[in-house]
Parts: sequence; C-alpha cells; structure tokens
Amino acid sequence: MGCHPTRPLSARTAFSLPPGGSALSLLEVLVAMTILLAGAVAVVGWLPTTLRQNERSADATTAVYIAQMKAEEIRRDDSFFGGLISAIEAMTTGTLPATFPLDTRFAYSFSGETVLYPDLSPADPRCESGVARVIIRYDRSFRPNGDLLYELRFK
Amino acid sequence: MTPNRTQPPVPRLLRRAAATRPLPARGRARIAPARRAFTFLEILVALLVALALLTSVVATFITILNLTAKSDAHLVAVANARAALETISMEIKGAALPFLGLNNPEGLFLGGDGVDNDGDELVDEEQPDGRNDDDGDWADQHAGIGAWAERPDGLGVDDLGDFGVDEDCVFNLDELAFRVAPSSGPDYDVLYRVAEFQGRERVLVRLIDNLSTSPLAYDVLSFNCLYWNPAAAAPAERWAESWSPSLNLPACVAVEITVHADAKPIESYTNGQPVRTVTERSIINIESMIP
Repeated sequence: MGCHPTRPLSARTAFSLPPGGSALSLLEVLVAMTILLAGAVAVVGWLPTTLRQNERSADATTAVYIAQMKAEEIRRDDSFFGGLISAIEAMTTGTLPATFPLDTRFAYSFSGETVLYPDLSPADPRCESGVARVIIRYDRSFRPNGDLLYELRFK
Repeated sequence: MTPNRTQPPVPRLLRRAAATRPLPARGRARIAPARRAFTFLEILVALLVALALLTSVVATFITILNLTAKSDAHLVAVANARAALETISMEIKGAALPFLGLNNPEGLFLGGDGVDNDGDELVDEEQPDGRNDDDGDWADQHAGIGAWAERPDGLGVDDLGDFGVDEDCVFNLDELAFRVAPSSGPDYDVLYRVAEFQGRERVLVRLIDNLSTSPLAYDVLSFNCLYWNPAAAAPAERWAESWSPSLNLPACVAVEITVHADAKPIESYTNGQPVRTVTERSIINIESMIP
C-alpha cells in the first residue's frame, strides 16, 4: 500500500489524517453501523403499525356498511312480520356472533344493550338500554380476539 | 503533499535499515505507526459488512414502500366506493316511479377478480343474483333473535346473506335509473352506470335529467344491483336481478360496488389474472315501500 515508511507519500496516495488525529478502527465503524441499524429497525418496526391502523380504518368503514345492511334487513322484514325489532330491544345479552358470509372477516350480532360502551355513564345515549343494535366485530376465525369494530343503534 | 523530486532515490539496503530507526523529518511518512489507517483487508471487511446491512435495509425499505402503496391504494378504493355508495343510498331512499333496473352481465372486464374466493377450486363461477346457483355449498345463515330469526321468510331458502350465496361472482355492469322525489325541491331523474368520463374508462357516473354527468367512483370493475320484490310468489324469488318500470317500486335495493385496489394500473392485467379489489355493499330500503 502507499504508506511505506521510507519515502514521502504523494498527495494521491496519502491518507489525510489530521496531525495528532487517529483513524476509526473497524470496531468503531461496526459500533456506528450497529447504532444505525438499531435506528433503522426502530423505524421499520413502527411502519407496520401504521399499515395495521390503515387496515383497521378501512375495516371500520366496511363494518359501518355491514351494520347498516343488517339494520335495513331487520327494518324491512319487521315491516312484514312485526316483532323483530322489539325482540332485539328486549335482549339483555346479544345474539351469538354470526359470520357475515359475504366477507368472512366480520361477524355480526344483535342486542338491546350496548356491547361497545359498557363503561360509559348511563346518561350517555350510546349506552341507553332497550335500543336495538347491530354489533360488528372481527370474526374469530380471522382475529381470535374477536375485536369489536362498530355498534349501530336503529329503530 | 507534493513529492520531493530533488531528493535522490534511496537504495534498497538503506530503506531496509530505515525501517529499524527513526526517519529524518523530511523522509518520514505522515502516518505514524501508532495512528495507522485501515488496511486493505479492513476496508474490504467493512465494505462487505456495510453492503450486507445496506442490502437488508434497502430490501426492507422497498418492501415497506410496496406495502404502503398497496395500503394507500386500498384506502383510496374504500373511500372511492364508500362515497359512491353514500350518494346512491341517499337517492334510493327517496326513489319514486318510474324505477328501472337493467341487468348487464355482458359488459364484463376480466370476467371477475380471478380469485377463488370460496375455495371450491372454481373461479368467478357465480352470478350475483341473491341465490346459490353454482356448487351446492349453500347453508342457511340466520342469527337467532329470541323466538325469532332474522329474515324470517328466508329460512330454508337461499337468500342474500346466507353462506354460499354470491360469494365468488363475475363482474356485472348494471344500470339503475329512477325518479327522485326529494323532501324539498323539484323531482329529477337519475341514472347510474359505469361509463367513460372525460377520457377515463370505468367510471361510475351519475346522470341527472339526461343532461349533466358527474363522476361518483373511478376504476369501478363491477356495479351490481338486486331488487327486493315483496310481492314475489315464493321467498326464493324475492331478489330480482332487473326491475321493470311497469312494476311498483322495490321494497329495497342491494347495491354492490367493486373497485380496483392496487397501485398497479388496471390496464396491465390480462384476462384471468387475479385483481386486488375492494367491494362495498349495502342494502337500502325504499322508505315509501316500508309500512
């Protein structure tokens, strides 16, 4: 290499180390790279969370439509048969979640009590008793926790 | 540092000897042995390590970019379909006669989404008609509501909302036209169909009084409507694929909009290739037909 100790180095071959300074050792470079990598991993780890939130936002929209669809079905059939809505209003425990066949990631159930807002003050209209509700959640075959997504009150 | 060209060359023997004793100030290299720079091997190792790290970081970054693009396309498609469905739903609620529903299974693009959605090894084998008309995988699906079941007259017959019904359909490009009687303001006629709009294909447009056209959703691959006829002779015949203006209003309309949901342009797909789509659907009652 161009750092032979017995002759002066040309400008092209010399390392431009400052007098009294020292070059970085391989260990120092590796440590710096590890820190850089740790930062990159942190950023990379954060992005999937954002993607999941995007997905959940889209799913919440779909949940709203499924809830509206089920509520419209109940209203329509109640107009011909009667008693459906009042049967739902009287339910203190919801029906078993049923998979929504056209999009099996979701499940729906009916209840006369809130499932999504059990901890709210009784004065809050969202937890009013005796109001028919459609409750949409993830189907357990898709998300084992069956997370709640949306609750629609209807009459 | 410029080389000293006037200095005579040092004989090899002297150079060897110089390595064992201190060099005069002018002949000494600027890098002292205690502060030596990288060797060639060290640089190679460092470059290889850096290359390996950078490769993995860049690969991850590209994957994330692709995922983000897909996620964005999905969100845009959802918003697109949702906005269109909102508009259509609001107008259907105020529908009046005449009411026309044209079924158009012929204007298909790619046939369907090219995906076996129901896992029966058949692709896009169903017509979106509210019935199970393909593979006999139908199962009644009704939540029990006390002594009742939802959709009481759907018990024992295939119906929209049951398993196996319209789960792996071809695309349709239906047309829907009716008069709207708003609570305030004059009546007007509205027509929804998928058409070209300002040079762009596959746009769900809203045509008012046959005069003004506005876009509702872009990259629409399927627009399908079903009409609920409460006067049908049998429960299994309640969902109709088309609606004649000679009939009274349907009691409700099922609307389904399928939108392309990928960053990849739709024109680049070939027939049968799986397409990423978003489908939003709703059932809208026509209030005047609901007692």
